[in-house]
Amino acid sequence: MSKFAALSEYAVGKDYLLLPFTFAKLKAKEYVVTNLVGESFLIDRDDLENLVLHKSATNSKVFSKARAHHLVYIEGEKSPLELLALKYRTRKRHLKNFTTLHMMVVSLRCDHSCQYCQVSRQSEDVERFDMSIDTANKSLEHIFRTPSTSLKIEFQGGEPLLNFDVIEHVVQEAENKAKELGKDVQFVIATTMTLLEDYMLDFCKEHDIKLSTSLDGPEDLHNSNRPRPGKDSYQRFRASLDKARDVLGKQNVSALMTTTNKSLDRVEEIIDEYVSLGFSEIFLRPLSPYGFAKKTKAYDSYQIDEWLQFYKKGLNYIIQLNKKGHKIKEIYTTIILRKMLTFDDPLYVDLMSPAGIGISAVIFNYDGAVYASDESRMLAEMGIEKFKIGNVNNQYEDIFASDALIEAIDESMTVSSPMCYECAYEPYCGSDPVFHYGMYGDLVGRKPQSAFCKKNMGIFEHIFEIRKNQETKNLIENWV
Amino acid sequence: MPEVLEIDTTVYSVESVKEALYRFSDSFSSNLTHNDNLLRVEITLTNGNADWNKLRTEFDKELLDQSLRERIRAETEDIRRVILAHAFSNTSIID
Repeated sequence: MSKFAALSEYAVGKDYLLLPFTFAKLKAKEYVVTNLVGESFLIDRDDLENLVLHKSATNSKVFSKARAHHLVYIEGEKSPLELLALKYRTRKRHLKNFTTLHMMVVSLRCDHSCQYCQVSRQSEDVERFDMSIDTANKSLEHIFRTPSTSLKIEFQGGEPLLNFDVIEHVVQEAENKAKELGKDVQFVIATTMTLLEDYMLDFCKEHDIKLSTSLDGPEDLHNSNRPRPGKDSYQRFRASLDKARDVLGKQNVSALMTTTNKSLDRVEEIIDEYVSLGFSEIFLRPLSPYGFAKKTKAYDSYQIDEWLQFYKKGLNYIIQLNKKGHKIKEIYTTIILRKMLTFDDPLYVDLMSPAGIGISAVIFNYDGAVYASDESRMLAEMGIEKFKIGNVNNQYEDIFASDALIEAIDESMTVSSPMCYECAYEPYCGSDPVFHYGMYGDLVGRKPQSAFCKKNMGIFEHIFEIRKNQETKNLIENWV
Repeated sequence: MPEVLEIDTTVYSVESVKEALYRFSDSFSSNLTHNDNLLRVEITLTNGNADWNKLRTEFDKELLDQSLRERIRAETEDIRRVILAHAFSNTSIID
């Protein structure tokens, strides 16, 4: 018996069948094609048409590539179907784990008064804006009902450090419960660090708590974006950063930035600030169109096209820095690349189908209200309570099977959303019902007018475009 | 005055035309009437200063793409169901 099958067993001269795939124009005659699970390559428009019309020569390079990427198969072949099913199942396996990220707003009070902030209150009214021990306990009861064996609790604000007693209580209780139930629990505090004290750091060290802080750029920009009494947000941040790194280790203190209109022409300076402070990651983020950001017109102060230019210029600068030996990566690009190149979903709520709201992440507000996502409670601050899915006093089943959540998730399936279902970038994207409801009053929204769609399609196209350069491709794919 | 397109529906399906029009809904609104094999599309530009000839060229290209997409969908609808059914068989995600 020969080691190899006869030539007649191969595709040469045979007709072929199509598998589900989508495509999008990158530019002129160059198209991106993606299969059912997001594997992709670039193809010439004529080759694409020939492939769809069954005119591709089965001994051509294009056909081989299409066959290897499961765009086509030969009648009788089973392995492409089985492989696609296996990859699809792997891509969606997180659904079985249900909620992993649980955010707790322990205080809405804050020492800052940022124009774009969605939710914070400059108030001394502890009773009114802090989470009580009772609400925290009830939240924990729900958190530990998740079938997921590993979960993360993120303390949010306002400024969560203003209610550190409740953080301490929750951490200790959660650790006990996790031990009892055989689950793994991790903690993060989202804080500006301006009120960080030594005893807090010691507690964080003892309980392996990570800090996610905020840095908007150089001193003048940061202080201008983040006003507080004494106008010293940056100075306090810097002092705390050194201390936090000393106690917790550099890898346990990360930073996020928010782009305001004052940031738009300063992306290189912002990145330089991150590099000079020794950060190995930066997340170039636009403003969210919620709460105070919209009320104060901060969100309307720039268009998404301007932000895209900011992002592209920033990403290019980061790539150039890496080529010079500075190790820094852009987080959003990394999330998207992980979706493009692996079947391991990074669980970024905005880029999930069905949407990650409620089922990947959920938020317990200071007053006991439960929201489907961080953005949902911000929307509630504008008086839109569409995504309030319950209260800590409700039964777990009533919260997570609430009509509010089910309807939003149902409408968030990109495979059945207009334009999304035929988009080449669908496997990487989401439909973000909270954004579309907040902006356009509709869970689905009209995609051609959607700023969410414009932003993400712009980024997907850009990532495909820059990966045409082999050196850049190797460099950024290494971030995953 | 609206711009008018007349499309032969033996060449492009009404669905393909609608899909293409949706993609351009940020540039123009449309009104469709269908008689026999002729689809008449009245187009009103959202921005009066937009270059209709340029938009028309892009729209024609989009129509071609949409008819390809329609063909892929028609040919792969059944196999998609088979793959998805297989993907979630024997899992606790769906009963």
